[in-house]
This record gives sequence, C-alpha cells and structure tokens, in this order.
Amino acid sequence: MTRRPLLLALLLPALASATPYLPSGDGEVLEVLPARRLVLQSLPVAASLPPARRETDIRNLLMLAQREGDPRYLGYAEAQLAQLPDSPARALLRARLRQSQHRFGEAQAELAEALRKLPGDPEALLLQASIHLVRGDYDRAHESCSRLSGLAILPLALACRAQVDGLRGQGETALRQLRQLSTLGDGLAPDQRTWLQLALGDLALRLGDDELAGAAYRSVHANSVDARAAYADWLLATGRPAAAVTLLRDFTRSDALLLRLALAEQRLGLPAATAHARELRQRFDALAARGDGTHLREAAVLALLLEKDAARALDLARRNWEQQREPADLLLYVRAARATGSQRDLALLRDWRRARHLQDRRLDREIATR
Amino acid sequence: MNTCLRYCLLLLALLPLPSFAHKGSDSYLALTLAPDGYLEGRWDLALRDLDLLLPLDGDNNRRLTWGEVRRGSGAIQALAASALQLRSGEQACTLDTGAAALAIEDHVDGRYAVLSLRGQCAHGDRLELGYHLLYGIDAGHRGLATVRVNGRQHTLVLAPVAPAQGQEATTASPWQQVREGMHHIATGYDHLLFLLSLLLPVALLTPRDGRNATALRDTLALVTAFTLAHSLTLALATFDVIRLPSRWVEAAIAASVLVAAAHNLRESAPRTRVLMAFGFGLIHGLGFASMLGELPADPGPRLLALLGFNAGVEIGQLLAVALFLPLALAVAARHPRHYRRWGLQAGSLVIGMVALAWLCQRLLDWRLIPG
Repeated sequence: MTRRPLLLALLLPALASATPYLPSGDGEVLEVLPARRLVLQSLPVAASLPPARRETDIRNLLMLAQREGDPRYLGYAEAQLAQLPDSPARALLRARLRQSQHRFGEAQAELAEALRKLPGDPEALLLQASIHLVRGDYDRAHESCSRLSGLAILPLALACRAQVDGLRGQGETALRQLRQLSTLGDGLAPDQRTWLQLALGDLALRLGDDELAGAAYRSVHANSVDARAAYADWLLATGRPAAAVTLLRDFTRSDALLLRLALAEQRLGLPAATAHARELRQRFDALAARGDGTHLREAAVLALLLEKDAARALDLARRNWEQQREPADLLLYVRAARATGSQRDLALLRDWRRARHLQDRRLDREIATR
Repeated sequence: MNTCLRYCLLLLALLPLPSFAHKGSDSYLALTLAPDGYLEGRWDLALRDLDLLLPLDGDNNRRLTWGEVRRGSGAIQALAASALQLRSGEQACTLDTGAAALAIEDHVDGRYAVLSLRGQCAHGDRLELGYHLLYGIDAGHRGLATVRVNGRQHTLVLAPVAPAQGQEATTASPWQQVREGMHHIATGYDHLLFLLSLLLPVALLTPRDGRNATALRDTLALVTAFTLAHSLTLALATFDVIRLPSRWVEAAIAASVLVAAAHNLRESAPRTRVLMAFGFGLIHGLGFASMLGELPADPGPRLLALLGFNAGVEIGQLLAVALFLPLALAVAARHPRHYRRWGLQAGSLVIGMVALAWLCQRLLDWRLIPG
C-alpha cells in the first residue's frame, strides 16, 4: 500500500502524457468492443431482481472472466456482489471472486464461513481444495477432496483427488485415473473437458510424457486463454517456436499470450520480439500502477527471459511465490534463482520440494532433490 | 442446465490460475489548481467503459467509430461531469468537462476519450475529489490521478464511491444552469452570428432625425420572435417530445446563418426578418437542447433547470444586443453609406462565408474552421 503511490508517481506521467489526437474520419474504427452481454444489459443491476437470478448473473460474470481472461468482468461481479443480501451462496461467490483476484487468504475466510453454514457443500470444498493446491498445501487439499461425497459428483471427487495425488508423489497412478476420467468424453461439458485435459497435460508434462501432454493441450487449446497459453508453453518447451507464433499471432491483446508470442519470436530471432517485449513492459507498468498483483508470474518471465534482468526477475518471482505456489511458479523461481546464483533461494526451494515429493522432470533438470 | 452451470464453475475452480488477458478498468485524471482557484485538467476515459454506460455504438455492430464517439461527445461530457465532484473547502468547484473538443488517446489496453477540464474553485490551495465513475457497476475500476496543488504533485488511486447523499450529485442548480446558458450563448458563435445577421439592417431603419424608436422596435420584435421560437423547441426537446439527429440540427443552424446573411445583401422588409427569426429560431432551440447536459429526471426540477438555462441564454443574448446596437446605431447615424457598404454588406458577406464553411464541415465532416 505504501509503495504504490510512489510507484504511481513514477509511472503516471508516462501513462497520461502522450498527446491526444483527432482521428482522420468518422468512419475510423477506434475500438472493437466485446459482444454485449445479456448480464450487462441494464446497469446498475436493479435491487428488485430476485437474489437467485442475481446469483446466476454473478456466476456468469465470473465464468466470463475466466474464459476470456478479462478482469473487467471480475469488477462487474464484485459490484453486483456488494448489492446482494448476505447468505452462504454470497460467501461462496465472494470466495470465488477473491480466488480469481489472487487474494487467497480472504477467499479461505469466506469459504470457512460458507462451510460453517453448508457443511459438505461440493462447490465450497472444491474451491477450498483448489486454493490449497495453488498455495502448495497438498495435504489440506487432499483433505478437502476427501470430504466430497455423493454419487452425482463422483467424477469430480475422483478428479480432485487425482490432481492432488499427481502433485505429491503418486503421479503415475494419478495420470492413469485422469486418463480414464477423460474417456468419459462426450459425457462431459466443454468446460469440464477443457479442465480435465489441462490437468492431464500438466501432469504428463511433469512426468516427462511430452507426447501425451501435447495431445491433451492440442485438443482443447481453442477453448480459453489459459488453454491456448498452456499449448503455447508446450510448443515452446518442445522446440516448436514457429508453430507457437502461428498459434498466437492473432491473440496479442492478451498479456499471457503476447508474452508467449514474444518468447517464440525471440527463439526464432525475429525482430518483433523486442517490440512485443516493450509492449509487455508498458502493460505490466500500467498494471502495477493500479496496484494489481495478478501479473507477477508473467512479469517475472518477461524480466528473466526477454529483458535478461535476472535480479529483477528474482525479486518478482519471490513476490509471486509469496502469493502462489503452483509447479510453474516453483519452476520460474528456481530458474530466476539459478540465473542470479542465489544459493539461499535454491536451498529453500529444494527443501520445499523435498517435503512435498513434488514430481517434475523439468525441475529435475534445474535442481536435484537430494 | 442450472446444475451444469454450477458444476462448470466448480471445475473451473480447479484450473491453473487464470492469467488475465488485460488489466482492469482505469481512467487517467490530471488536474492542476492555480493559486487563484482556476482549475485545469484532462481526463482519459476508456471507450470500452463508456460503451458500458452510454449507448455509443449506434449501429450495434460492436465496432466503435470516431463518428459514433463524436456524436456521443455531449453525453460523454455530461457523464464525466456527473462522475467527478471537486470541492475546495466547503464549496463545490465549477467543472466544465467540455473545455475543448473531445479527442482520442491510445493507452496500453485500448483507445480512450480525452476530455478537457476547466473549472473554478473557491480556494487555490486545497482540493477534494469525489470520484463516482462506474460506482456500483465495476468495483475493480480505478481512477489514477495526478493532482497538482500549490506546485506540489500528488498521486492518487481512486476507487469509485457512492455520490454523497442529498447532494443531487449529477445536476447543476438552476443558478448554475443560468450561468451555463450564458456561457453557451457567449461561446456559441453560430447563434450570435445568426442574431447579428438579423440585427445588422436594423441600424439603417433609423430616420434621419436620429430618433431610434423604429430600430428599437424592430430589434425588440426580432429578439422576441427568436426567443419565443427557440424557447419552444428547447422545452419540447428537453421533455423528449422531439428529438432530431444533432448532426442535422447543427447543419441546419449553419444553413440558417447563411440564409440570414445572404438575405442582407438585398433590401428586405423587417417582417421577413421577423419571420426568419421565428422560423430558424425553432432550429436553434434544438441546438441549445444538445448543450443542456444532464438534467434531473423529475419533471419539476427538470423544468426549473430548463428555465434557468433558458434565462441564461436570454440574458447572454440581451447583453450581446446591448453591446452591438448602440455601436451600430452610432456608426449608421454618422456614416450611413459606409455602414451600409462595410457594416451591412461586407459584414454579411463575411458571416455568410463563415456559415458556408460551417455548413460544409458539419455536413461533410471537414475540418475547416473552429465552431
């Protein structure tokens, strides 16, 4: 909080000092707007709408935020949540929102509240598991998964457990389970299929089965920003930067995808890499100016691989690590620590990994577990 | 279906963390307060946010053009005025969000509309901001502000808050509306030139004995006709009885100036000009209506605001007449031939040429002269 105004003071003149202009003609298209969403048709939302209907709207907004990778929808959801009467459902939606904003502590508090009133609620338990996962607390995540019960959500409970097991040393079994679950195929909704394939791909990649991971990512890459990013990462990791450029060329509005595009261009020695890196720097500066901390992982990658500023990358990776501890965050932190030769950070990470038996072939190449 | 929605969302919870495509919604506000309380600034608003708040995308094709933004500039300025409250000490500052024509700026996440701000505060050493943009709509929105007071720069991250209670946050008081109206007539050159064209021949009606009664009567008739007509259409437009595309209204106003000026190039009866004052006055009233900005929704306060604005227009108009008429009468009485040639004819020619330029640029969107 104290740091922000100072940072802002440095950044704002740059953000707002360019010269305005008059476009050349009335026909010039200034902005291609997102499709007009039904949930945003009448704003602010009337308090007279029944709470159940407003809850559905908020769910839709949260889903849109995820699928399109657009945080504005989170802001809309938050504003509508503030006008919702207090209820366990509201606590759950708030938890979901805080998770999306990477405010995990607050999300857990909301979840505890919701679970007190609705013990065993599957949505709350799954969310709780996912937040434990993100923070690297696999035992607690497994506990949350285990409390899921009921026939209707059996596939979800299995997937939940498999995902956790895949992180704490039982990768091969988990992979088999996830593959079986994914053969449910047509019985799954598109979002469910996407999620399952991404989980499968992540696990396969960590176990070193690049072929399986590639097939999983390829099958769902067009479904969301995250899926496309995951497939791009796979293309980059397996030495196919030209294919990554083709995949990402038309998606430069997304920071995450532009970052991967710049990395691919760098591999190919294309001059566009420099311009794209500069563009990313501006976008991350703008994010930092508004106090948005959701971009630390991407910012660290930019510093490490494109700007070759290892010290800055390490600082960003450390701050990111305080926030989230997925395998990708660990890998990034390790690489930044190696680039600066920080043995203290490496020792800390090695211990952390050993305590969890985290399987990851990519990490094996960077740090030995013993 | 509902269950699917529930579980789809459930599953998303287990995905790797979302990596957001772009940043949330921001606006960029820069303000400078001079020691005498004069306020100047600039406010960049994302077109995407404006699209959420105003029906800018007229043809609904989700491609926002400069023409659509330009046509919505009045609404954008009114929205901005209602979303920002500036106070100095206990008193609210005046704020004009249309101090210069709206322009465009490219920021990292898209195009923004740039508004020029101007205002006056009671004190030059303190400024409080009330920021309400997107309140209740986008809780993630932030106003990133740099404020310069006493030569010191302050930077602020403003989260939208509810407008203060009982503040009638969005609308100006009737007295402020009077000032608005005066301001508008003083800077609305097309209305002034129209009036001037009608009044130029008046001075020549003065009989040789120097009594000005005829000229005064004629002036009174012209101004009354113009006032009645534009008040009528201003009221009708304010209460949404008539609504015409502003582009055609603006073009018609330019045409009215052209006709009135051209008419002066030959002899004409005073009656014709009174008829023109009334007929074209109807169109000018529609032009005023587009300048009226945000009005209260309730009919009572709305009427009061309208009366205030109209009173301002009339006061401004009478001041202009009071400045022009004695001067014209004095010149015409002493040098009637010069007045006819240089005042009436050359003056009308110049006015006509200006009006022609306006007409072209309003119809064809050329950019020739200001106004």
